[in-house]
Amino acid sequence: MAWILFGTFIALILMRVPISIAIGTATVLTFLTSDFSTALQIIPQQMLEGVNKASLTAVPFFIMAGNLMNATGVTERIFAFANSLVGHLKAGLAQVNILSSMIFAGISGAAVADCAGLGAIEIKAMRERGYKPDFAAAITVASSVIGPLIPPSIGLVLYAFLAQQSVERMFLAGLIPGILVGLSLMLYVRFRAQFEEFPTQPRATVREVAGTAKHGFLALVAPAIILGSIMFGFVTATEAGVLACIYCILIGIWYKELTFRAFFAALSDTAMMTAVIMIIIAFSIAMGWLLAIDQTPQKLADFTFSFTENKNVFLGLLLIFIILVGCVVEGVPAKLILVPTLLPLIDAYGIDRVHFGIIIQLGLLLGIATPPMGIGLYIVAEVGRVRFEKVTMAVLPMLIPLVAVLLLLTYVPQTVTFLPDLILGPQN
Amino acid sequence: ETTWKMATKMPVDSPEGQVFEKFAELTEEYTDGELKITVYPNEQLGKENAVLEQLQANIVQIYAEGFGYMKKWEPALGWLAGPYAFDDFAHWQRFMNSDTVKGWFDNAAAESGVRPLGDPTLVLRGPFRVTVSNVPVESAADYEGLKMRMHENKVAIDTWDNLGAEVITLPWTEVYQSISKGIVQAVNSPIALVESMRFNEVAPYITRMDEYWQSVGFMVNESALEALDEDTRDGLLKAYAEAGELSQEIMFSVADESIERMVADGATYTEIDISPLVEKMATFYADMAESGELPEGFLEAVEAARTPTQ
Amino acid sequence: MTPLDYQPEGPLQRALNRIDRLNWSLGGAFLWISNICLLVMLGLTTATIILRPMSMAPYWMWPWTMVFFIWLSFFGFFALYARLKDVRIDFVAERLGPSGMVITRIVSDAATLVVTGVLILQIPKVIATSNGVYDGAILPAGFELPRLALSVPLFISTVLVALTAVLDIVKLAAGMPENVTDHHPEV
Ligand code: NA
Ligand code: NA
Repeated sequence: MAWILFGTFIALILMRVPISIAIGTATVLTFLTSDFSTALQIIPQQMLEGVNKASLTAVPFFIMAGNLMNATGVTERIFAFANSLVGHLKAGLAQVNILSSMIFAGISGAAVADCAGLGAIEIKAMRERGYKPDFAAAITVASSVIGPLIPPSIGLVLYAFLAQQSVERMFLAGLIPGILVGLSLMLYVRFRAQFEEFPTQPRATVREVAGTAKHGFLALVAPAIILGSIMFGFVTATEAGVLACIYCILIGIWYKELTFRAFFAALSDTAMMTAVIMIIIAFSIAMGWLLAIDQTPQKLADFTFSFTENKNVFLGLLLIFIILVGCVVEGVPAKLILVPTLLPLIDAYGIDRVHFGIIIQLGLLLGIATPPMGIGLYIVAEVGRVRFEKVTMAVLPMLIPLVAVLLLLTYVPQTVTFLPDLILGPQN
Repeated sequence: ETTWKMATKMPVDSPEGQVFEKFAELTEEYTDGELKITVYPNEQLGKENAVLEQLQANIVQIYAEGFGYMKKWEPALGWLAGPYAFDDFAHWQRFMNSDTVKGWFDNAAAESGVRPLGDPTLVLRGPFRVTVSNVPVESAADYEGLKMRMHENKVAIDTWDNLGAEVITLPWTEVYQSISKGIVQAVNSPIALVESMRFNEVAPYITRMDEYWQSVGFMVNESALEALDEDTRDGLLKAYAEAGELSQEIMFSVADESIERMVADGATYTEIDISPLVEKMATFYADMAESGELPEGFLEAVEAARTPTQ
Repeated sequence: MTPLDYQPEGPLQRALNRIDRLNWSLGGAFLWISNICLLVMLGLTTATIILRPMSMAPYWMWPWTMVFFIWLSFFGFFALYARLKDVRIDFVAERLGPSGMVITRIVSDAATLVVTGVLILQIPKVIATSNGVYDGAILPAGFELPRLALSVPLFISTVLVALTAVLDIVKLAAGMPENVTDHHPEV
């Protein structure tokens, strides 16, 4: 059953079938070849179940916040501030690229907003300064992985719902890993600058730093407001997303940079991106029903457990498996199928669900930077006007620091659980 | 040899989950292996409406959940847990087995092909209702002005509005946060869920207030039931009856232990006299009956069940 | 290339192009319906944030937010299909040359028809079993939203998506190019 599902899905994706149709067709074909070929009414029924999820209403707003930042010029302000801070370092603009993504991540919940909006600015600046376009595009994709780790994050909202964890806890758990990914990429760039010539620029004066900080002040405090309002304030995750959007709109009005045209473009982009994600979720939930009634999770758990009882060996196998899946299946459907299927195993091996959530989040995120399904690669190839293959090759070495962080997070669970346990208290 | 699929919302290790596992075991035993039951816990097959549709289509054969969800086939069934309509559990039990209620279940079965298995009150849920609050609730009067979380249900909202509370609707999963942030002061809950939702951490006053009684309905697909031979059906019913007894034992001992733990952790447990609340609701129900909002024969059946027949 | 850019030749192509333009506009209309749903969600949630501290947030706000979220997703299905907003991966097709684009065009349309066909065949069953109302979604007059109203947008979108795929097959037969998004030239 799993073979029909994944096989059909991947084949269709490669045949230029739109992703929502590909997952739908894969689901339908799996149903038709199962014991439930006469119960096809389950598909529309479960599609409705899939989108009727209260916790997922946060999704459009975290997408919208990123789009609004791009529409209101907040993104440029973030970039300028990052540039004044680290622009003078070796391979300065590459460091700026990474730091910008870390700041941007505090408002945006999706990696695509980073690649498409912030990415366009970053790649343009780097090209003008004489960086190789494929390197510029590659570091943009690699650093966009930070976005869905540092809260807010759509992927973590989805995981919280699937694994019955609180969104607050998942968000706190993502913060340190997100920063670690950023730092590892910065280290990587610094290391390369040791052997390669990269363009440089002069150090910003204290006055200039203060200037860009003042210029971007309203944008820079936004992440604190969003995270803070969820942790200690009076709002749910969905409401925090709405607050972020309203905040971006207000900054846009304050700086007089938000036009009606830009606002409605951001709105349309958000609506369509949300619809794509939700239709994928709808079909995946129907597929999940079939896996559940077939008792696939239990069968898989029994099988795996008979194979190894060692937690560390299991974690290693799990990592390889997640990364492979992430290469070919987009994060949302991958999580929808994998999380319920793997949870019995995760519990059986005594792995903390919050810990697993971050592992699967980062593991699948690597997929945005790997072919064939690397959405991030397509976007930066598009906005950066670079050939897809060239970005793909340039991004490969950057996967090393990313995988290193993933290994660290996997085998040192405290890197994930320390902060949520400190602030919310340990679970159970 | 037949295998039935049984859907539930509860995790396997929850008290209700244990009852369902035992029920599956007993069924296999009492039917000499003729009927096997596979339990699908944790809403694996979907939420209420989805599972009920699967039950109708005979994809699932048993759904263990509150009967209230059957109201979409017979609206009167939405009133089985009328808040403060009943004096005590025995009163409610007599009502549930009355001809009026049987008639409602028959209507639903005619509409959907789904009906309850046996006596609808056997498998307990809760086993009783409490208010968990961050201010003491020691009598009916303390509900006056209390900011209470309610789910999006008109009857529940109108009831507590009528009883003087200030009602705020919130999703269940946001209750903990909302109490800790002061958005609401209190939430009504089955006692069984208070500790697992960690409500007592933010709202240490636990008050047994018997708002209504609840059972877990074993809703079955009629045609699947009819397809069983008589011996198998008897075995199934025997397993159901025993699961019912087991649920009484488990639910009350779990509740007692949980209350003990929470009190040791600093919670206060009280039981209040509910007669003022029942009284306050009487005029409310009378008004509703007059305006035609109550199902035909509801108040009469409640009255008739008030005193034991023998 | 969108139907608005295409120069039809002959009466058949002109007729098809007119239908295609109509479909394109309809996709735009559904995009706007989705936008409006999103705006309503934004408005309702904003109102909740403001009104709740004053204990003035009516309880129907949240259920309606959910309803508009569902409608956003389901109306959006047709919009993203017709307006080419979904993700498509074309490097394999490009490697296969001109025939690659034709083959993948047919595969896409066929896949679309399989999935929409199955969904459309289920409409009667879903209508027959969707009883009751969506809890909490009420209007001041006491009207309660039937559960069926949640699925209807999905079915409308599904039918329109199917028609769009049929239209594309007919266009292919008439020698017309498929609709694709603008592609930036690579340098
Ligand atoms: Na983020
Ligand atoms: Na970046």
